[in-house]
Amino acid sequence: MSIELPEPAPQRIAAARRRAHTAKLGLAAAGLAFFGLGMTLVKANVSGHSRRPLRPLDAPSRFRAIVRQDALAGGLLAPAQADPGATTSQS
Amino acid sequence: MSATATETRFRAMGCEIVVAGGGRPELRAIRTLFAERDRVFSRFRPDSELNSVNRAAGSPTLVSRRFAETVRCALAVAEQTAGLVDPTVGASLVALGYGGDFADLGDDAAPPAPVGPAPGWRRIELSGRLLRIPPGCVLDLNGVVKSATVDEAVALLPGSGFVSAGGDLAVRGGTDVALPAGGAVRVVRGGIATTGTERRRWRRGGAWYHHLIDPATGLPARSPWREVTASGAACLDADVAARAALLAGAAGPGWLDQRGMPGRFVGEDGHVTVNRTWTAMAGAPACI
Repeated sequence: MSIELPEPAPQRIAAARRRAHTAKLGLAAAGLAFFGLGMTLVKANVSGHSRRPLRPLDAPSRFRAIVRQDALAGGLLAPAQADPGATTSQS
Repeated sequence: MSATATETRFRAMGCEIVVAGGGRPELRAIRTLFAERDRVFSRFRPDSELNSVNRAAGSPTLVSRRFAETVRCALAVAEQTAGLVDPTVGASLVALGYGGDFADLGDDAAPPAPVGPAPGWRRIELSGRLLRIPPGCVLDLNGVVKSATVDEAVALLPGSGFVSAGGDLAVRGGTDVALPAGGAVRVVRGGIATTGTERRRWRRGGAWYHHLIDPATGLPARSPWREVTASGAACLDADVAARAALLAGAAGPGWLDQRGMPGRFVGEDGHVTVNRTWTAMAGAPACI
């Protein structure tokens, strides 16, 4: 014995597709909203995230210029204490 | 190599190397270090990497890591000294007659070839190990190689001692050092170096020339100082500071004071002057 199911009406299929489409859009929007809210909370509360626009990780050029100028460093001298064991002369 | 109980002497880089302290393995390592650096950076060995770079002037060249680091160091030195110690003065030295080992230089009645300003360190392009020097440029890295090698060598000593290359000296543990024109000072930490116009000089066309070239003219620098001794946190600092102070002329003592570096200056008449930093550390010169 076989049962013949009636073909669904095209209007019902179209209505079901619209509902599914709306549901997908709703889920995507909810996901985005959840992600955005989460990121906002993270940025506001987690110390590893900057609250301001990021700048390049580099020292200011003025600081670098000062460091370069000071790169030559002096040695440590004292009055002689004994007969010299070495000589400095023109090379 | 001649050796005493405390000192070992040998020749490298055209000068006498003196090593005090260290055992046989350290001395062997130091000797190998100087020989290796000379093999790479000598202007007088046709097979040196320096000469292959100079032959390729105008074209990009892939250099060894060590060579690139040394060029980077020479560029930093040029920047720190406002271009006084410039690695691009090699062509002037060659044109003026210093194109071979100094020991082989003799008098020549013919005048030297005309020279012009050095190309300038800013025209050297270095990216990683890729180096390009301007056409016609002859690099001379002697301003940093010898003293940097002294610093590397003294770091190989297991305890106190010193390493000296032709009078450019780095110490570990403090050493009393005799100074030009008399007197002595104790180098407690770092290095000390002397540069001057009297020793490495030669005659061409009846005129005397020396190896301290003013990059602005390409000619031997005219300075009121015959010899300048400076002390630095390392021998490299000391050597660079001494050269820059001599080339800076009358401004030399103040130039060193601005950097907290002790300097001692012997004038053309033999008069000894020290800067404020030297006086604060080691006192005024004993004999003037």
